[in-house]
Amino acid sequence: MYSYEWPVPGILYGVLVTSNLAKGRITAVDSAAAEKEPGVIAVLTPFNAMKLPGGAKPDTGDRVVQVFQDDQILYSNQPVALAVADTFERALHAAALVRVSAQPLPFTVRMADELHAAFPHDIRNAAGSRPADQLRGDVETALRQAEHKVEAVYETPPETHNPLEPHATLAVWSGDRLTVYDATQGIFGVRKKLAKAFALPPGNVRVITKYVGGGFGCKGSAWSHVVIAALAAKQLGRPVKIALTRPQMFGIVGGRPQTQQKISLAADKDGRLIALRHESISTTSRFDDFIEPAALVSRHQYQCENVETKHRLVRLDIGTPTFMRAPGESSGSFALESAIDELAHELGIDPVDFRLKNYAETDPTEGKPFSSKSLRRCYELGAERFGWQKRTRRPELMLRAGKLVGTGMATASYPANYTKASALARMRPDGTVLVQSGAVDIGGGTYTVMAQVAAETLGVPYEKVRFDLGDTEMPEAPRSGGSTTAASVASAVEAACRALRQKLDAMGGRPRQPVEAFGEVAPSEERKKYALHSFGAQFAEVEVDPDLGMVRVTRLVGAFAAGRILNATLARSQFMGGMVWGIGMALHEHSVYDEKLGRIMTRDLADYHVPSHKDVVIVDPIFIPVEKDEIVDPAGVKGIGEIGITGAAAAIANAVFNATGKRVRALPITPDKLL
Amino acid sequence: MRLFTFQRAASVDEAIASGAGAAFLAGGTNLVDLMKIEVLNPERVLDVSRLDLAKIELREGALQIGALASNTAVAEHGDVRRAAPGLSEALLSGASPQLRNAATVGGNLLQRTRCAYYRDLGTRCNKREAGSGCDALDGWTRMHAILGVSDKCIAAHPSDMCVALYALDATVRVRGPAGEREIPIGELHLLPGDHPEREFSLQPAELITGVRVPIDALAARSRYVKVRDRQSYAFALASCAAAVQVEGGAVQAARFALGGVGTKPWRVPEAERSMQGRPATRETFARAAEIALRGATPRRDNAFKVELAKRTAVRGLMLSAGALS
Amino acid sequence: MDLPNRPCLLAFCRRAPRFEEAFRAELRALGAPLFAFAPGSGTVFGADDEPRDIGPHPELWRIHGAGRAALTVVLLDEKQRVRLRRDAPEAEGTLLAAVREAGRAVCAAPRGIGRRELLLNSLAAALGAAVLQACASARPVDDRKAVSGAPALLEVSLVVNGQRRRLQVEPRLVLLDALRENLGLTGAKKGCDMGQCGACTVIVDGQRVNSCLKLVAQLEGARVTTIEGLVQGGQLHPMQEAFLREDAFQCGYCTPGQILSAIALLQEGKPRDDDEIREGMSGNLCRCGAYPNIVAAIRGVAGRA
Repeated sequence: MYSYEWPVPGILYGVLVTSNLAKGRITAVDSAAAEKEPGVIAVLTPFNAMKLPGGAKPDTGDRVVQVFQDDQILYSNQPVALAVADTFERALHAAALVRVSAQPLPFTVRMADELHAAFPHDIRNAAGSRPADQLRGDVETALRQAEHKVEAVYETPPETHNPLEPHATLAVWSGDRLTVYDATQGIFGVRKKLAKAFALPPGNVRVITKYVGGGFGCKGSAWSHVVIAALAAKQLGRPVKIALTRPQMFGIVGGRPQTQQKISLAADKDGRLIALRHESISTTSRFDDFIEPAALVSRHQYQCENVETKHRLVRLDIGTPTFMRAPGESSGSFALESAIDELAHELGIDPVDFRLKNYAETDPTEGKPFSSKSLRRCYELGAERFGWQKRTRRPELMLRAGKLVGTGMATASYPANYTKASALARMRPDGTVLVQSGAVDIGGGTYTVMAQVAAETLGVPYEKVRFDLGDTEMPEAPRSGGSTTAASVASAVEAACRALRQKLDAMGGRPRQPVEAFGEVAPSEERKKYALHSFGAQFAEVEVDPDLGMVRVTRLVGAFAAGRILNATLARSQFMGGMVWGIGMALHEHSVYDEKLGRIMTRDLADYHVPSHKDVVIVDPIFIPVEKDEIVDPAGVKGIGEIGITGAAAAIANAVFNATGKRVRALPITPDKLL
Repeated sequence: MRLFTFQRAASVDEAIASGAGAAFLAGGTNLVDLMKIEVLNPERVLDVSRLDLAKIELREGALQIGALASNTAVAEHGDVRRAAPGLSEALLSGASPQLRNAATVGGNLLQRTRCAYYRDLGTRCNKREAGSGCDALDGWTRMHAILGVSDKCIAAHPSDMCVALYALDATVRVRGPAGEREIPIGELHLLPGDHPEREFSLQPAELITGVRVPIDALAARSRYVKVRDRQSYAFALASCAAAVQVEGGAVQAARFALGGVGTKPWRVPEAERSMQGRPATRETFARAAEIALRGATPRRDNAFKVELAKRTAVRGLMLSAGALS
Repeated sequence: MDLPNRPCLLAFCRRAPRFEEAFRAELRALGAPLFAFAPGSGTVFGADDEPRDIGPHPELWRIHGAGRAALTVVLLDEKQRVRLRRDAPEAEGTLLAAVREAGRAVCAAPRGIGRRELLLNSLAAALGAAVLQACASARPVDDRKAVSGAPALLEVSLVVNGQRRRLQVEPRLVLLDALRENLGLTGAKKGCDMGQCGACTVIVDGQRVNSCLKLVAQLEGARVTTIEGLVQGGQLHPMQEAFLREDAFQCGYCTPGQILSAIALLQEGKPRDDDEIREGMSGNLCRCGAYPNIVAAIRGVAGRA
């Protein structure tokens, strides 16, 4: 059951009113017409909404929200009011009738306008905190002296996650206790935010999330509508549910920020990299910091003596961007892996050979060993599966049914993240087992995989085990993001089940009373001595219409090594999904702003294109079933939800170059760019 | 959606008699969509979906297609596929199977623009609200028209079917309080000019009852080419419906219409005449395309459409002429 | 059957509610077992246990005078004395709400001496309140909608998954919202609400359509099939089986639409190759990117047909 669907008697329907202006101060909200409509209960605005007991800014280190506590408009499409009625259609119409008057203020949504004010910002994410800039060796001199160089700027546009299930929150109060059914990737983060907003002990807030219709990062935070749903339910004394409309998905709940990445590469005549500089600028809002760590990938991807990476942020009058499937590694690998392809082409070296020549045996930046790295094997397996050796370097004449055919490849990588997690395992006298952990399943198969891990650890049949999740009454688990769930929760489940097994063994068999055991895991100190990543190799074949510029990815092969694979079927689907996202990133996705209005105009699924069935032909992920790694985490698992997109856009862009001789350095590769 | 009165018409006569001031509703794929986002706000909706107007037949040298025939029914109809393949291809290139099952020919003839500003109540739009201004003019114009534009409106016409019907010289049958008449499809859609809010040459309470597509050797050669940002389920960046008849290597007769680039489906008679008697080669077609795009007025984001439309036209003409495999 | 010698909850439902995750989640907090009966069946739910079949027990229906309302809830104390008995007009949502409220009451009850009595009192109060709230909000559809100023409601009768359903609706109600919010059939999903994603695909009179763009007012007499109507005699539809076999879904949100669209696709004619399947399915977006597996599932079913 998805969050909006929980049956609650007496539920009210809330529909957000969002701002047309990109920046301003609200002077009045006229809700008279809306309130006259049948079935309309209330219109909440900054002028009549209750003041949050926890303060106007319920910040918890999570995204900053706008919840009717002041008169400021900070970006277009910001929530400014909520229409509440007894049916959805009535609330939707009431929302359309609300008139917001505001004093406009100057703004910009154009990166170029704010480049002068770009500032460094360190990187904080699931893998910890890293400095914005890192320099090793003497990049400047190496670049100056190099025989072979590539210097180019690569651009990735703002993108919007668009999970098919719109964000939804259902809030029910009972006295000072709040229960929230939320479409979220992290129930404990939602609980923290709501407890802060309403000045409640966290124990008074219960968050339940049994199924999520896709997340990809945007559901990793408690955004404005979550607090607004709870606020409305509190103020009106009735349960309230809010689902964002599709156009409201653009701006309120984040997106991938725009990036501009300058890459300078140099190699000697033998094709050895001697300099690599990766300078990334990404956008954030005026009021909150999110950084797309696009240059991180350049810190470890290739062996090179002289490496410099920089991260800069520029502030625009937009909703705060957020992590979107492989934040940093997806956009960053497009730039780096395109540039590597450019240099290989200039040197006349096969792109796979060029990468092998510059293979990093240890992390080149910090000198740490990799906990495990099977990238060489990935190149081999992928190339073989794809038939890479048949590739032509000058394919201008390669026509198939009137289409230009080209091939390209790129390296994929993503950090192996692992965080604190806990689980509870209980065996009943009838031999059945219940395992619980407050994780969520956003489509990656957490339910299935954890039951499987528990069954294996306990040595009981899979059918005897039920794994339950998605409730803050359960042991705490991390947000499902940064590819952490499998590694962290599987380790916790194993710990709980091992503890239970010990108890059971001590008792000598099946218990007469239910027996339970708790398991908790956290990253070890040992882990810090290593560089921890998954790796892979992506190979793409494209067909390009030589006149009309339409590109079709006819084949995408990805070979991955990601520690221990818990469930081959589900893993294949995760890799595949990531690769399909690579197709979208390469060819389709772009949240286009009207710069004069400061507003995203591709605000529905007809204007914001994600791949359709017809855009996905052969997507063929393969993987090394067991890449032994005893360092990453007790379960030996590296996450797999994100690596599939990394390198994919570059492989496709490189294939387009191979087919057409045109190097597209600004995504997406739409027909107009190939005319 | 605003509240409205819902009535069902039992006959065409009844629909016309009570049609003044009402919106005719058939498949709903366009009207209900626009009502939900409150771009169209009829006070009265007259359901005509059950009228007996769904027949498709080949009669008197023409395809006679009822206004309520679904897009799917027309596209899959054997006579249509044989006699006017370009029409079938155009329909199948539009929307999705689900939408085509519901959408009707009559509704498709009146399909409203996909201009993102028209659909966004947070912006100004002369088509949606006469005289309110147009935010598209200096906004995001990638999907907008380059032909037939005015300084009040640059919204592109979205239909694929209408482009094919135009190239096929179809006429639209309508009935109204003043009786029955036929409108050449080229005259059904109005250029925006100073009044983008006026979109069709229909009189109040006039109901489209069907379409007549004359069938000849040219129609049987018709083809449709569509360029878009993804492989399916996307509106055209540029499209072309073309019909070319070649004898002894020379063009006997040729017609073509362009989609995705005009404020209405676009045809240029001079461009068609330019091919007459010339060899059926890329050069001939390129010259015709050049003529067709004369006077194109691109804006910042859609300048590429000038070249793209030409290439799309050439592709369509080549395909129809059998000059491509 | 023996009732336990501790507080427990009895629920008599005229039509069997679906005890899904909602109940599992709420029951954990309740701490008292729930005995749920429907005509011809009975199930007991412990806090953390799998539901157990206990048979219908018609005598309990008689003892507690159940069956007149859609739902009767009874709270028994440890000596099996009735501490509360309430009728409600709607079973599924009310029962869930009642369990939720009761669970909260249990959590809130202070520990220590006299706890059991306090617990029972709080349980009774919470249950009563939930049922009363349900009674207040579950007025018949026509009452609820006929608020002052609203135009007359339309009466529409349609056949949903083989069952005739009568609805009184505002003309602006679309089929998708009617299914999800009025009829409790949440299988059809709302992804975009404007015909751009296909998650709401259902089959109406043999054809797949986007239910988000269909006014209920137009559907008098129509036959609607949703994902809930595919299971026949406890057997999944072959297309559902194929989707499971091929792992053709991840988050599951687009899946009902994909499955119905796929079934209709094969009814429309046999696709000649994978590309025809892809084109024919292009109206159903899958953001997780399960497309190749979806195509494999459809190919499998088409091959056997």
